[in-house]
Amino acid sequence: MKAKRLLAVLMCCLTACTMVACGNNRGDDEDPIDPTKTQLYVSNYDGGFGDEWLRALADRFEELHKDDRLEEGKTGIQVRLVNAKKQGNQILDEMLTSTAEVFFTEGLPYRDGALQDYFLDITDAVTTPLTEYGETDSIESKMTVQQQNWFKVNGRYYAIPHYEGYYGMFYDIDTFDTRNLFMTDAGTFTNYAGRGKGADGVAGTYDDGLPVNMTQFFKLLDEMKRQGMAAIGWPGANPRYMSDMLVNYSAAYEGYAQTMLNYTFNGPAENLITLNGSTVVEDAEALPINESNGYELRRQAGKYYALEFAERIIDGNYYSSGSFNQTSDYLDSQTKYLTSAFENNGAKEIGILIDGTWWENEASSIFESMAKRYPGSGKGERRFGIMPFPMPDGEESRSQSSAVVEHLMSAAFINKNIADYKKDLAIDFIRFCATDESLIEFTKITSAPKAFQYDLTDELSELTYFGQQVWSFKQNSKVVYKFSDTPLYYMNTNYFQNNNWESGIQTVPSVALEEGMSSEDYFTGMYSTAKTSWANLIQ
Amino acid sequence: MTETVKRERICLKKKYKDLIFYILLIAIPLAQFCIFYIYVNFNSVLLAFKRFDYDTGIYRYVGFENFARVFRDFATSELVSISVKNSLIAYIVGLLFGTGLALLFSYYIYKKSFGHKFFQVMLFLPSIVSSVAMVMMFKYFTDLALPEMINKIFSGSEFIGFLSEENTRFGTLLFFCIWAGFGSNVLLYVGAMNGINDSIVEAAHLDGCGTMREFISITFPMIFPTFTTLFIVNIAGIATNQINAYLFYGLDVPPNCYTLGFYMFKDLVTGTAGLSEYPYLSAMGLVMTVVVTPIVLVVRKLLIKFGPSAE
Repeated sequence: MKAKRLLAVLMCCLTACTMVACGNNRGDDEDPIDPTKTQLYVSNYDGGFGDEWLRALADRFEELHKDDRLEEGKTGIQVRLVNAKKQGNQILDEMLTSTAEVFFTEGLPYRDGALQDYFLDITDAVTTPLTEYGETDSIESKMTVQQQNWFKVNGRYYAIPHYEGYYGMFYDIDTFDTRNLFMTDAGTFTNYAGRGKGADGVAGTYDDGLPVNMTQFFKLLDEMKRQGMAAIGWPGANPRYMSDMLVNYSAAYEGYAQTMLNYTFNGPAENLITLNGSTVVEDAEALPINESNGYELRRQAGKYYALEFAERIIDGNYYSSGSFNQTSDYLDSQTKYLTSAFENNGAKEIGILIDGTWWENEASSIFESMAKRYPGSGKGERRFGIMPFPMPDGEESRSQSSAVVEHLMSAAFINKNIADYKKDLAIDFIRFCATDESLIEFTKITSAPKAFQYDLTDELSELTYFGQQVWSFKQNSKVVYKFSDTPLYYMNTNYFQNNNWESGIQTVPSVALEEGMSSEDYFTGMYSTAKTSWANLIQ
Repeated sequence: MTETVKRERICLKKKYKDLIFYILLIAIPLAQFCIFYIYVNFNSVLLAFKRFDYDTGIYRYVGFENFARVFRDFATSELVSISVKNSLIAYIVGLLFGTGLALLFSYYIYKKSFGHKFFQVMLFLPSIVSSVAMVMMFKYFTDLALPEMINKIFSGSEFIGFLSEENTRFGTLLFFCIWAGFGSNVLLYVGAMNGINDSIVEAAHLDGCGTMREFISITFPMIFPTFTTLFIVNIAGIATNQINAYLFYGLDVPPNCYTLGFYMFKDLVTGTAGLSEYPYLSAMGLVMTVVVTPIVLVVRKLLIKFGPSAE
């Protein structure tokens, strides 16, 4: 009997332990509701950018509205956060029953939500200048034309952009300095002080001292290997990180106009190629692209060179051990990257991390724990930079027209079911979060840009070193948002956002290449697969 | 006379009260069934014949357009072929090893053989732990602990992990499905076996019946209705079984691990999957139902007709 009881207790403990994995949503659920104030419920996608920015925003908003009286017997506003790692369809599915009134999320099937009447029409709030906050611009005027076209459904706005993030390659400047991994203009290795001007030929920009072409890049990887490092690491459990980084490699090669073609399907494609064995044969003339022949864009040279770039990394065994391991997720990858510079536990130091521009903020807790063990290793104390994509030899100048694809598709909107008396408040909150002050505050806290046009001047020095690099990168790039008001695109959003690298049954190039597929076969397969799929898309 | 009428009235009143009570009791579950089962399924059948019109914002009927696409995909898509093949393999392996071993282990436990209590607990343990936690533990075991050991034992080996390597990942998923689903099967079979009348077993023993003969001639026929139920439920699940692929790989399931269940599920859970995807998925679901339903009915009939009888 005693044994049975003991077993029962053990089972209960075991079951309870499994619940621990569920964690909590770190929202305001456990904080008391202030009955003397009106509550505004704000749902936040608690991903890489966390919620610190929203808490700061909420504090200022509450202060601004401390004397507002929206309900009988209540004075002031209480912004209550509902943190949830929910995005896209999950958000739409729960909209009708959700208590949240304002949403900040990612991966939103925006047009679907707008057409289903889930969002409040905020056209006036978007188009009216933000004069109450001392600004002359409207939210609309802070958006690019591409954004305006996307967010305007049948002439009305139902949401505004939120933040933006790009996948790329990141490196530790101090490691490069101490290990002499920077390059001079002549392509020899040196330290930080002796570094060259980089691909843009201008000193003082983010690409200083970094490889300008494939030859230099792989020379750098060889040097890292020689020094006993694992040159590049990415999360094996999230192979999309590598795939989306390759999308940006292709964008850097193709430039803004040619990358945009993948979403607008309208214009001449100038860099189409076919492969004759491994020989690249360029099309003699630009091919006019329209909705019926959009699959031809799978022949863009940038896509082939991106695949070739990945193939050389994989075939050369330049990657870290976790890059193809299912237990290594993005947090694990960040941890290994950050700790490998300090801990000699048998694992090799990782030179370059493939991740998104949100990674530094996402790794806040890792930095926190590291700072306790290794002074000077906390967030903002180490200098991280963005590695420019090395162009094929002889085409170094392509990096000057650099374009970058924004991958997060984030947006802010108001639940259509919000109570009438709170509508103006929610609209005001949306406007408030798009003021220059709020945009700058977001960037200062997260080191990431909001998806608007705004300037950082005096505040730039308040960003972490990495934040400054990201900002410099944004300023030097044209951002391509993965959306378009072309019917072919918005009727097949899922396909165009998630099948960038579909080739036969393969969708993840790094995995296919690691399993022995060649970049040539992958590239050729992409074209034939897209051509076959197109019949379904243009119906 | 008045007394009889009075009594009849009271009886009638009681009947009315009982009826009202019954209606109140059944109303909510019935409404739930109507809305969340009948309406939802009926709606998804209709959805299979529609397409979302992004200009007007409503679904419009397009006849059999979605079905044509489904059949086209079945004929041309290599991923669908792999999914069909894997779904069938998962079913057969599940039947041979999952059901077969579950029957043997259940019998072992039922016969109260050595360590039966230990086995009972150990086999059922995976079923009571949250599947996400189980997946996590299993993943770390097969792709962190085991590779470390293997690479240490066989120096020079660069084994990444059972779920990470191309050749082992599908087999590993199947193993996990059988292992994790073992407990519930065993529980059901042991429950059915415990219901067998002891006198029948004792009579068989007096007639000199051995352990295996007892299993073949008495135990299995007596639990055959339970076996039939599980067998048929498994067939019905061929088109929906995801072999836990999503829990292990998220949306990045390697192509050689796709099943029909995951093929359909993937397009639903992808964040940006929109209104345009649903009709196609509904059509595919409907095609699956049309294919699987007659198989289930025929198999059920055959099992009842030719299966061992308890008589």
